[in-house]
Amino acid sequence: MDLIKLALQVLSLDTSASEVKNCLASLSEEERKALESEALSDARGERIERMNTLRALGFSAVEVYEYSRYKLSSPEVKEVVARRALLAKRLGADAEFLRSLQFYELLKLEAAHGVDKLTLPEMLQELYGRVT
Amino acid sequence: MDELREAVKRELRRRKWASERGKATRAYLRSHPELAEQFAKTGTIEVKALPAYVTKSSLLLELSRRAAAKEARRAVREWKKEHPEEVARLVQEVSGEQRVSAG
Repeated sequence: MDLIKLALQVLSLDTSASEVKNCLASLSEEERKALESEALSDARGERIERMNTLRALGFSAVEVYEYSRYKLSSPEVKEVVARRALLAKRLGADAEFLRSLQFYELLKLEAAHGVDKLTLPEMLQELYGRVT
Repeated sequence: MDELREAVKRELRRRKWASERGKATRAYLRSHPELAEQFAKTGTIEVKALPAYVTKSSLLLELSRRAAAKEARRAVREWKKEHPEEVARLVQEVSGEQRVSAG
């Protein structure tokens, strides 16, 4: 999925809503067993899910590990997601390229492209402008 | 008082499990070094029969933690190379020594 579209999905998460799909109830017995054999049905599975999303958004290893502690719908995470998506837009870069960089390089890039100085509403305005 | 005792028991049990899981996970990763390579390439791992206490989540979390620590160390090294004066100032501030380390 396109990095910016995914970022917009994360940014539109309702802060009061549960972010992790409560799909266990809708699973068949077989599906549930398959999930259990994968051993991802424990509580840490939620964090892994967040890690995968952050990785798909082009975050580096340090950022993935740190930000996955928080819900994607939390304001802190939303701000960094918007910043990263805007950097991707301004650079014309994809998630794979961003992921290959270290957080130190990413911070420098954000500063060089003036992304670090913007507020969340300013970033959202520029991001939504792209997809409409 | 009983409630408190129960809460303490629960917490101790949780810590015991976490400790066992951590030890088992690290031991499993030591005996399967190919998982680290797989994780570095794809961001995930494929595992089947796992020993007691070890889960795919615990393995992924440990591998992510290691990747993050490695990246942080590398970033600090680079920052030190780029800012030797700042490093010297910080070293002096912290330990009172006049020393420049860039590696």
